[in-house]
Amino acid sequence: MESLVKVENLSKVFKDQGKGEVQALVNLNFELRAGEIFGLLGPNGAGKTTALRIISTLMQPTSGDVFIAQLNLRDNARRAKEYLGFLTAEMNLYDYFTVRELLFFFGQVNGLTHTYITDRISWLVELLDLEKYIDRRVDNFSTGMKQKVSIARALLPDPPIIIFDEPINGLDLMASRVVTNLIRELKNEGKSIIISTHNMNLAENLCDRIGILFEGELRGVGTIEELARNTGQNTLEDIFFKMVGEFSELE
Amino acid sequence: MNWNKIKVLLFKEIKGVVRDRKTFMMMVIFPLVFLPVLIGGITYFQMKTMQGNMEEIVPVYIEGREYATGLVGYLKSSGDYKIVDQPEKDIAPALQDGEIALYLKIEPAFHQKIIAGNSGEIKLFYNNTNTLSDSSSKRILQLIAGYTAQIVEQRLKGLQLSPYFIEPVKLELVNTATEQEKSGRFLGMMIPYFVIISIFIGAMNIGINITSGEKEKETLSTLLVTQLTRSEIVVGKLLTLIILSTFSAILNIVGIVLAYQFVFSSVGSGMELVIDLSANTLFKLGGLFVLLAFIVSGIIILAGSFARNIKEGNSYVMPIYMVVILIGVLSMSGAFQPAGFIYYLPIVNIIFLLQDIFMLQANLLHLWITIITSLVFGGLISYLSVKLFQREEIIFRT
Ligand SMILES: Nc1ncnc2c1ncn2[C@@H]1O[C@H](COP(=O)(O)OP(=O)(O)OP(=O)(O)O)[C@@H](O)[C@H]1O
Ligand SMILES: [Mg+2]
Repeated sequence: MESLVKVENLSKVFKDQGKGEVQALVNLNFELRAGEIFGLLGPNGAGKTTALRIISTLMQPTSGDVFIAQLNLRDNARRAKEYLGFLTAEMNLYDYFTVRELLFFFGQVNGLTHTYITDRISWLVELLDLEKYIDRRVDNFSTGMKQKVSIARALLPDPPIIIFDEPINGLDLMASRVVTNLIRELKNEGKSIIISTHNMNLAENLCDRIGILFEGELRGVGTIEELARNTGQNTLEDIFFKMVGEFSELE
Repeated sequence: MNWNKIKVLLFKEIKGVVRDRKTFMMMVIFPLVFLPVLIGGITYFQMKTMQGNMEEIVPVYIEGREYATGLVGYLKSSGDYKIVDQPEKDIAPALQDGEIALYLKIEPAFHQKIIAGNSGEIKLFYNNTNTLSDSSSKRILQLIAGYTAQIVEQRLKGLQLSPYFIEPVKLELVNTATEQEKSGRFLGMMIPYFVIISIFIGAMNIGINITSGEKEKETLSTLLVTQLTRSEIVVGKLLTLIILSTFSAILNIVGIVLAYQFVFSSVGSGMELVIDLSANTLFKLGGLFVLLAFIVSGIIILAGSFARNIKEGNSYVMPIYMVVILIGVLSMSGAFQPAGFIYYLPIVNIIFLLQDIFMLQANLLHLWITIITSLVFGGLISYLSVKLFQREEIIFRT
């Protein structure tokens, strides 16, 4: 199967004034296949955001390569962006704007035409159930609503790849459910999706394949069945702790 | 550079500011309402007090008035003074609290000395921290000089000399300054100060918000993943600041000029603000405002992009603001005679050139030096901002 995102020997070192050199990512290798949901599962500080930022062209790798639809980000970042929709972990939006104004703004800076944006907005409004909110200002929206608007923003140019950093972090049960269903729906629409999370349930329920990221290293990649087979464990939680190697002696 | 996309960003930023009611109100209400009321109020009351002092009857205590009956009569006949009895307190506290405004001490031999053709001695005590005492001390000096002149005239007459004997040269001062020049001097002192302050304040809050603020809220990431390049983002934000801070400077000037015009006409001071509104002057002024806004906005974008969050952004900009205020105050004090090299110093040169233009002394060479140094300096800062924006360790500093 064709891989939409290919990460090869990706490493990232931060030179932090306080902490000195931080090896945030160590020699990562994984791919996102067409039509799948890939999950990066890892605890706080594992390097999830860093990995997703590099894939989204926001940061440069220290070494290694990332290919988006066969385009190497090192020299094709601008074109590669057209294939990507990125959702940050922070669900903040520009205050003082209505949903429609925000979508028009992001559409126009992405070079989309007025008619195209209008058409996309009517489609997105239906998909995301935003009819009542489309002309309201986003400042007072709930976190769940803001996440919906962010998703609309990322989907506006209709990119084949969507990247979610912690999609349900900070959302209540209802909103999480809505967002999770949405991600599934996007997959059914034919999108390929990478999510990062520290939530075992989300990874288990949503992801076709999972990469277990710990201290900047990918400890294992595969479907839950494959990971279970390799580790001899049953639940994702057990697989995780087995791969991470910590606490295993507590058993 | 895709100017269409920059324009979209620019409109979005400006819309955001206009919709932020607090910021926008500050931007409009402050110069057009608060500032005129403040200036108008202060100047109006100052002028009123001065006029009031002119009309007020001044309580004077004269020690030894019997030795100078002529002078005392002269003072009384002016109608401005009320000769009072010796205060119960000491002289100093009585002057201090205004029980008396002036205290004259006349020596016992005063009259004899005058008659004999000598100088009679008078001591005038006043307290310059008391407004009435201070202003009437100057007025009574004039009055006594008038009395002295009478005596001189009598003495000359006694010697069969004409009054011109002691005034061999008659000098008349004629001020040829036009109303416009007088206004220019006044505005030249005031306006550059308000221009720099209002441009800075206008750009400061908004500039920090659209740079550090976006970092803090992480909305910047959503902007960076669009098809906007980092230089387009910097240019868009820079243009936003230039436009808004120039707008704010113009509002401030309109507010100030209106305030003074109102004050001068309502107090009836005879002073009138005449402003050169020719296309040439307006073009120069406008150009200098934009250049100043360009540099100031660049500095703020640079500091704001470097800072991690709004708080840090403000703390970087504050010291620069202090320096700017200092430059403004220096220019307003008029204590500073600009030397040639001043026109090579960015920001400072614009302030002094604005002053020159108002005072009708602008020099074409200085104008060109100022334009070129400003463009170079502003360009350099903008370039640095773009460079900062391209460095992920700055943009994603935690
Ligand atoms: N801009 C940066 N400068 C310096 N160090 C950084 C920077 N960004 C991340 N790091 C460090 O890199 C490591 C990985 O951080 P990252 O944010 O990618 O983790 P994460 O898996 O997203 O964690 P979280 O669950 O907290 O979001 C951490 O040790 C972090 O301190
Ligand atoms: Mg993270």
